[in-house]
Amino acid sequence: MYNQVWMVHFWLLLAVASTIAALWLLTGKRSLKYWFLSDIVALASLTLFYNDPENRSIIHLIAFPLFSWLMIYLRLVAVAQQEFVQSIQRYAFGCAAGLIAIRLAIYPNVDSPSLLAANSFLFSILAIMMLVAILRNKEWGVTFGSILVMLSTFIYVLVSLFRGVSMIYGPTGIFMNTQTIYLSGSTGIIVTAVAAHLGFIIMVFEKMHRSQMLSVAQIAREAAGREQAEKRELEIQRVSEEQKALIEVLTHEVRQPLNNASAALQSITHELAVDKAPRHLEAVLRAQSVIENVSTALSNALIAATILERQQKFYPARCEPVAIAEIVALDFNSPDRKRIRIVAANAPLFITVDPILMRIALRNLFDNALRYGLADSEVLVEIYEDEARMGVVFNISNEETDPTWSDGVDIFARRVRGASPKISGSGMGLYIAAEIAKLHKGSLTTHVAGGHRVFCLFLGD
Amino acid sequence: MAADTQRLCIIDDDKDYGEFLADFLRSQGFDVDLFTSGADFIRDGTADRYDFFLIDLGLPGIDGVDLIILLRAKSRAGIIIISGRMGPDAFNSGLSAGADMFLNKPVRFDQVLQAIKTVSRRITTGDGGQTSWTLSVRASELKCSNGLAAQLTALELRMLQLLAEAGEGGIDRMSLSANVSIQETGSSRNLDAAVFRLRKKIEQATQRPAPIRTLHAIGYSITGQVSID
Repeated sequence: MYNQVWMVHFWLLLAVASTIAALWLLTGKRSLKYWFLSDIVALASLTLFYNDPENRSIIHLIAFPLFSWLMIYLRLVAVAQQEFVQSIQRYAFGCAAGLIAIRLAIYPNVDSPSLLAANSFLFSILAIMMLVAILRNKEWGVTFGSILVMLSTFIYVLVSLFRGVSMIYGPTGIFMNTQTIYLSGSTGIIVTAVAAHLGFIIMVFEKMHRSQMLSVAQIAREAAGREQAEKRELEIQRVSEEQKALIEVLTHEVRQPLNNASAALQSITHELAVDKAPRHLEAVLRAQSVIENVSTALSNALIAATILERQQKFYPARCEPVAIAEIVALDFNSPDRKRIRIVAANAPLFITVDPILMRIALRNLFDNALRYGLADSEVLVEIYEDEARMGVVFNISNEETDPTWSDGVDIFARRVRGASPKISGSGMGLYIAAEIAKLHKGSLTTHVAGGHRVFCLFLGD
Repeated sequence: MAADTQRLCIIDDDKDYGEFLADFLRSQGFDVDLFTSGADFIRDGTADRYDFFLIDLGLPGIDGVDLIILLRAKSRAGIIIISGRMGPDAFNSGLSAGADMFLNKPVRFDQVLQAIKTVSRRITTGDGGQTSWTLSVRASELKCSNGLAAQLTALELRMLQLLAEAGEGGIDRMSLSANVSIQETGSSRNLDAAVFRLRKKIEQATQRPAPIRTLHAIGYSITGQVSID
């Protein structure tokens, strides 16, 4: 009888194990691998289970529950998420230890019913853990396959418990004899094992189908995202083209006439100076100053708009910083120009910069120092080589009523303006100067020294 | 004021601006002619009579950059670009063509005058037009076309020789430092410091920008004409 049941069980298990192995090789799924390993262990366990009870050694007694435990544990690993396995590992290993302890305790009296019942209870606990694992596994979800696995596991739990109870009352008790227990246990195990395998295979296919659907949806989403990104890029390109066109207009249609107006005013200034007409001269100088302020604001806006483009195309050249500073000082009208004093060593000094940007940076720094400095106070521009840092330093200092106003303020940020509301400006000048310094791998900092505000522009060579 | 014998040529398609500037420069003692296109100037055929050219880049017909290339081929006169173009390309192409200075419009007349003075100072200290260099290995010196020369140490000579042999493509930092036995470890800037000192030495001795260009995060290269003797 034992042999017949054993044969049925063995061949059935071998068949499903082969199916699982084939599926594992085809799909490479981790869960199939563990389930297959569990089947291999089950086959080994089966051999021990149907062993003649009269000839069981202590190794057999320990190996059988251990194999059975390993079989359930591997199935649990197959259907559970990794985090869940980690969280119940302690209890699962506790069960294994309990199983060995029970076996050692009953040896050599292998038929102690109470201890064998406890043995079955421990297996039930493991099976319940597997049930919980399936329920908690978000990747599987509740599907036909998972319900089948859970149901078969539940039946296994019932069978285990039944066996436990019947072992207490079985051979000598009110229920059944040993053979009935074996037969009922084996049948229960075979039925639940077949159902569990079937359910598991369905689960795997359902999961694969879901993954496929998800990947189709993912591809569709990505395609939609790409299309959207392309549209956005086209839109950005269009805005950028419009911006470029606007810059072109500003450069040629606005700056050019402003340049001509300024040139005309310069001619008038020159003639008025020759004719000694101070009243008219003052008015013309004021008009010229207005034009130049507009022009500077325009240049700053253009630089701010093209600063990213400039980062991509940056062609610095070896220039004389003192010559650039001298030209920048001439950007201002006579009264302001006279306030600027440039101090530099006589030795020739060169630096690698973009002179157009450098002129704009220095113009903004000079303009800032002139505007915020006390009336008629000097703006000192010191240009020197910093050998330690390997570069050139421009120190621009002025005398302010309260140079501490900027404490805690990032005055190099966009649209940050000085404390005095009387002084006009867009708050872009220092930001532009700092950005230009960064473009040159340099820095722009400020500090207060002896009541003077000092801007320190460092440009590495 | 500036040498009153200086003959100056303005080539700018903006006639109003050109005339205002010409009037101002005449008042400063210059002899000034104005052309509103490159074609008119070439047709006139008087390029060699000028000491100085003030050229706009955006000219109709022959572009300002092409005109500078033509002029530089046969003239060592000072060339200043006065242009409203702000892009980095404008400056780079103008200077590569052989201009001495780039002034971005709007520009005051005083600034033009100041630029003329600066460029004149360079011209009077030796070479007009583009600077050329000769690296004399035997004399261990770098000679500038303005007649001035910088004496070099063995390391500096080797460095310049390597750069000159590599040409405009340059040489990467690792190869350069290995070839001149400068240790470059981690964040050390030994090579940068050596190049910084070399540039300074050349510039102080010759009054000209050193012909060494930094290729950021790559290495260094020679810029301009450097021949090895």
